[in-house]
Amino acid sequence: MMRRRRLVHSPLHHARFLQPRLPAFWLYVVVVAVTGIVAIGEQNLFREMSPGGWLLSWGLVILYAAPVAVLVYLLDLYEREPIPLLIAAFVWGAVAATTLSAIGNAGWGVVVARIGGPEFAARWTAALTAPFVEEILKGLGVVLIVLIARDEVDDVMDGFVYGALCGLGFAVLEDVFYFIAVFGGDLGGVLEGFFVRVIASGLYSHVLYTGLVGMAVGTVITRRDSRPRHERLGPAALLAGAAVLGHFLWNSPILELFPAHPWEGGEWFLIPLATAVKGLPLLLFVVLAVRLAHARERRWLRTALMSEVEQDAVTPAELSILERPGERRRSRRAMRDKAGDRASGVLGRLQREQVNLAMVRSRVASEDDPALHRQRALCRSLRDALEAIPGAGSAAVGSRPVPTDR
Amino acid sequence: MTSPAANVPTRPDGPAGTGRPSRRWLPTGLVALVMSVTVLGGFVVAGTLPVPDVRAVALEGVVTVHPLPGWEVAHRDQVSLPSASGEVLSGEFTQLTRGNGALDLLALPEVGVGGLALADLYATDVLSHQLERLSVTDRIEQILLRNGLEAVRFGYIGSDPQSGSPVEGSVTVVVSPAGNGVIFDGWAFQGQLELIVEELTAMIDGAEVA
Repeated sequence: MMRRRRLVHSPLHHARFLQPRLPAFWLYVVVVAVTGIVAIGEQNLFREMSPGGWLLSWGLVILYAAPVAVLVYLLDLYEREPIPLLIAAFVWGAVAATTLSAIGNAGWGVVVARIGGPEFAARWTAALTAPFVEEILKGLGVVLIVLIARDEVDDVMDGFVYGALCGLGFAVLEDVFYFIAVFGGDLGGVLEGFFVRVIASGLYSHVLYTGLVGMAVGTVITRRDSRPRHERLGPAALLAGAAVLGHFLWNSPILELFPAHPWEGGEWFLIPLATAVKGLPLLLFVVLAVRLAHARERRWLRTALMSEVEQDAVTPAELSILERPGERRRSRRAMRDKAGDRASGVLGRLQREQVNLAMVRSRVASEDDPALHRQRALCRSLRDALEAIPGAGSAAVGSRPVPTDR
Repeated sequence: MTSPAANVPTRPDGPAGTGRPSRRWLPTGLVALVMSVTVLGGFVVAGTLPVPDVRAVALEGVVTVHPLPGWEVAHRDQVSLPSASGEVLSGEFTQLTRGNGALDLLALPEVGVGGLALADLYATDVLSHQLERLSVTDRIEQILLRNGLEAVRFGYIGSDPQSGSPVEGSVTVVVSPAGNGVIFDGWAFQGQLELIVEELTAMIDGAEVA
């Protein structure tokens, strides 16, 4: 008789967004609900003013935001974050952060005007208020996600992913606002706005700023850094400071090479140049920071799983493949070619559980923790299951050391 | 015989190495505190800063406005507008500001047209030259101000040609029984109009129009 056991989801991905027992969850819900009323009212106004332009604006921002969201999601190489939490980060940026920032910027704008006078305020208010107000409010979204689902945010890259999606949500709402309210909301205006704000500037904006702020949060709360927390505050401040500085430069009259409107002929080509002068340095900084974070994740994975080799939970060859996500995909494809889809699926699950094993190792205090033993046993039995599939045994990767923990 | 899949094990129950999360009241409270300070702190700090004492502002003997605390005169000038009939309307312009928004006042003695025509003139000959991508609401409201005067009101959005920043505004036009015209243009940048709209309304309602 054939019996099939159901493949279950990894327990390390089970953290839910809906956690009514946590005060952070209710703070999130209340703030998003209240600010959501304002945000919906604003969208309603835009829809009434220019129905076609409003629809086109949303179509264009989705066209931009969808691939960026997928890219950010895939940047987390080893443990992809749960979709509901990613949506929560996006919604916070789009609804709560945008609405609260409008109020916060207004209040601090009055302070700038009182201290510097009207003329100074006209030139510098955007640079002196928004980078602080907006990065704090978006960053608080990442902190709330951490408080709601602490087990899901393990390291710097996780912080980057949540921060970048929070920033993407902010950018999407702001872009729609600009397309309608600044660029006129008609077909030509919306397309012009799309060129200026997305094509010429889309690489540099809130996704980068809040990605860095998220990395700062990740640096503080990481479980994979042996340094005491107070020693991690410096690097975190550097990351958050880079985000605020980049945002300040973007909003300030410094290095303002934007051609005066209306733009004609070659002036259109000056726009991407003008945005690159202000935005490219920060983009390069973020690329460097993400590469460093990836290297750090790879080191962490290797360190965490090295000792598991002698426990037979992972073989040296498997570890070598696990470290490189591209190799993982290639090995699954090779398995599918040799032993079919089921074998490829089991191999994929084995790889996921081996990465989860590294997570479990970084969360338990002792080598004798039952959770660690259970996870090792799971990895071994998945490998046994894989090798039992006809054709898969010969294709299975790596040799098996003598087990010592059975 | 069992299928190979039958040997695929299920996961151990529960999240490995993790327990039930604590409620974390303190960090949540800190988040709420930082949020409150960031959003509202500017208004509190601004309230502690010295505010120039602004007395009532009178324009051409046509209108007197009593600026609320925090509002100050940023600019004052004599202006002229071409009317639809080809005549030139002369008057006085004053801008009151409180940093994140402004109230532009235009007083035109013996304007010779009604409120609707004056509103149309202001949108066509003033706003459309001051702002790019101007969009004016289709509906013009007929309202009664608290001081008993009839007025017309419309809204607009556009962008500042120098900074490119979005501007939204609400224009209230009054033509008094004596034939004097007054235009109140309350405006602000990027979604901030609603934050000052109550103060704008209070100053407009409290204005004395001759």
